[in-house]
Amino acid sequence: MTPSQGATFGPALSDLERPPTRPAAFRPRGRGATADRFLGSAETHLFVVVVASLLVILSVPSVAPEDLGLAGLASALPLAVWVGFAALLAGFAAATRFRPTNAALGGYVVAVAALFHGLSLLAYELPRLPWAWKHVGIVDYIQRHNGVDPTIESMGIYHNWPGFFGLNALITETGGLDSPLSYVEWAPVLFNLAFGGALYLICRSFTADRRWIWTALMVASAGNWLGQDYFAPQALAFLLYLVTVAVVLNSFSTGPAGTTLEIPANRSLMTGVVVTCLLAIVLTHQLTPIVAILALGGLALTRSTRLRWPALLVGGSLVLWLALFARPFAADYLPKLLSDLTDVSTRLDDGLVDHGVVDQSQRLVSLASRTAAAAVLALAGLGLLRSFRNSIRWRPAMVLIAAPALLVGASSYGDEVLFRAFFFALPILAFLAAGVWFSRAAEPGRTFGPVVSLTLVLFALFGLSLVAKHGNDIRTSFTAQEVAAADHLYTIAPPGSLVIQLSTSSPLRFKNYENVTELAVEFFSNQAKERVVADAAGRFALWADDSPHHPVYVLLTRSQEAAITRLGRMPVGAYQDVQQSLDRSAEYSVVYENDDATLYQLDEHR
Amino acid sequence: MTGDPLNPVRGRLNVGRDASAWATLVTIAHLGAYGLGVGSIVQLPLALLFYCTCPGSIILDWVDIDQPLARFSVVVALSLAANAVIVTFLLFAGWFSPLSGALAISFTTMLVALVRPSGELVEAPV
Repeated sequence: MTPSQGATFGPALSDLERPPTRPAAFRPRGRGATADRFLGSAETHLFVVVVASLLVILSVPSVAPEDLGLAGLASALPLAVWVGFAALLAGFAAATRFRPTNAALGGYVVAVAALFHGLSLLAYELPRLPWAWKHVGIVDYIQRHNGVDPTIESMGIYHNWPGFFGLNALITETGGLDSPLSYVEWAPVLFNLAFGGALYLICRSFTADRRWIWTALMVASAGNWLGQDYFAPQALAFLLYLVTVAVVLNSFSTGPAGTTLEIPANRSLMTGVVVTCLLAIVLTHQLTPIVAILALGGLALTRSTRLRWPALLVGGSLVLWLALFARPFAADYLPKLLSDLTDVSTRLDDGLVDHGVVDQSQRLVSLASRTAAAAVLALAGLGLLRSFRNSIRWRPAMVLIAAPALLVGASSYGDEVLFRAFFFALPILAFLAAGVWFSRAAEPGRTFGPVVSLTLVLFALFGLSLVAKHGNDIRTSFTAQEVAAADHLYTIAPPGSLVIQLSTSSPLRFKNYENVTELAVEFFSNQAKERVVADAAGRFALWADDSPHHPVYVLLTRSQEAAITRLGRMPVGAYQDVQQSLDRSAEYSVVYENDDATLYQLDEHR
Repeated sequence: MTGDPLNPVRGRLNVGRDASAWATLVTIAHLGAYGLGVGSIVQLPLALLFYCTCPGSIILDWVDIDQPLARFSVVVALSLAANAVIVTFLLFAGWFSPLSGALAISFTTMLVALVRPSGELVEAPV
């Protein structure tokens, strides 16, 4: 960047392209000089990154569900883990002032991203999140059939957008594995690191100030509590979206010469990158193409890029995909999408947890997530105010925030769309938030005030995100016993089986999933749930009589009990009532049992 | 920083085609390990390396991205995108199998490595 390129968010800090060298006359003397030398040395920061990272890695215990307290995983972590993260965040803040090099700042960001989003990898023996297990089930289906079935009823949406799953079937098979379960929990680490690199390029199109850029990455990583980075098509599609935006803003910028590709061969090459990523988005995920259309269309309309066609490409490809390949799903999807367009207020209400029905720990998780989101939004607003004075490239940033916000009014994701919208906007919000500290030129190494404030804000954000992301682990992480029970179910259940469970918070559908249809009591009316609690054996038998699916199983697990209790979906003690009812009934036999799960089978000849 | 991201005019061009050689090596190692069935300890890292970096890493022969983390993201994203498109095509065509998928992606990688883009690469005025 040259100083003439003032077409950035902040001041042209081209001097920050190089390690800071200050005139001798301005260098502090005495104790200040010692501190300056110490905090400005590469060795100091390398030492902090290595030691703090090792402290976290070696201190994270193996966590069992009974160890999870009010705040989930955060309650189970020893002080050393908190100290390790505090050291990393404080070291990063100090580096922004005393050692603003890519190596130092990037080292901290990589360490925090990998460790924060790899915590569950260190703490739990098995992958968490029920949906990750279900996604493994789609991979398993492709492995067994070498294909997909777009007309299949159960989880048919994934068969219509199979790119992510097919790729993982390939990795699993050629990697010599039977199932992707052994690497599923690495996905958040890989994806968050990749998100960071893409965000670096996006931020680089706004400013040359590497302190601002890396702080944005740190805020985005420490503030990512949304859990959309797990083993799922959403995470892959989001990465492709970020990289597409990064290429569009950097290689096809409408900014001054020098920020664009000027070699035809390379322009073609970058066009190819954009086309490949956008096609993959259309073939991989249902929601991300909509965001891509809005964002890329917005960038074109605001003349933030010379590429005017990407939104049309995504729109056209999506229409073709829905019409030609995903027709079975589109027949259900499009009417729901249209009805959702008129139902925004309900969705806004449904998207937030009702504090009146959930338990204390769920309220804490909800409070943490809302506070973390509000903090990022507030910081972004403040950063925007500070950036506005010297900004002439605010339009792309506004477009990239507004596009996901429009999702709230145009998707069929129900209550989850609020989180998805925030997830898509988070990178740019993080960039604006970082502008609170760096939107104005400042001489590095002058004062400790910004270092302290940045440390405190980052640590608070990290703490809130940790509670928000891992506060529900008691119902979203699974023990080996629970998995063994589910594995037994899917091993013995013939095609056409039905399994009744109290909640979907179970490690289900990860193999032979198409053989078993699931029924979850938690989604039934209160009246139906009361009947189940009063006489589970009788009620389940009635459902079995009305169902075309046989044989009928009932699976009760520890995580289901935690889910219905914490979310207030069923009264306290309902799990035990159901279990006792089934144990007393002669119509049910226990086909598998251990400390954390019981699998019953209803007698077919009763 | 050596130049603008994604901007070889202002940056340092890597015209040594190291990335193509590396991608070729990874492709051969992955196919070899899979073909010989040497076990998941070797096969899985090679499979992850192959599918996450091929064919995307070849782009590094033509574009200088100035930051390793950003380079990592673009390579991984482009590789996964290209591979997802190929796999989806195979699935809907009814041609999917582990072998056909591995061969199709290997072929694509080799093809991209062999084909030079049109036009002359210009050395960066560093």
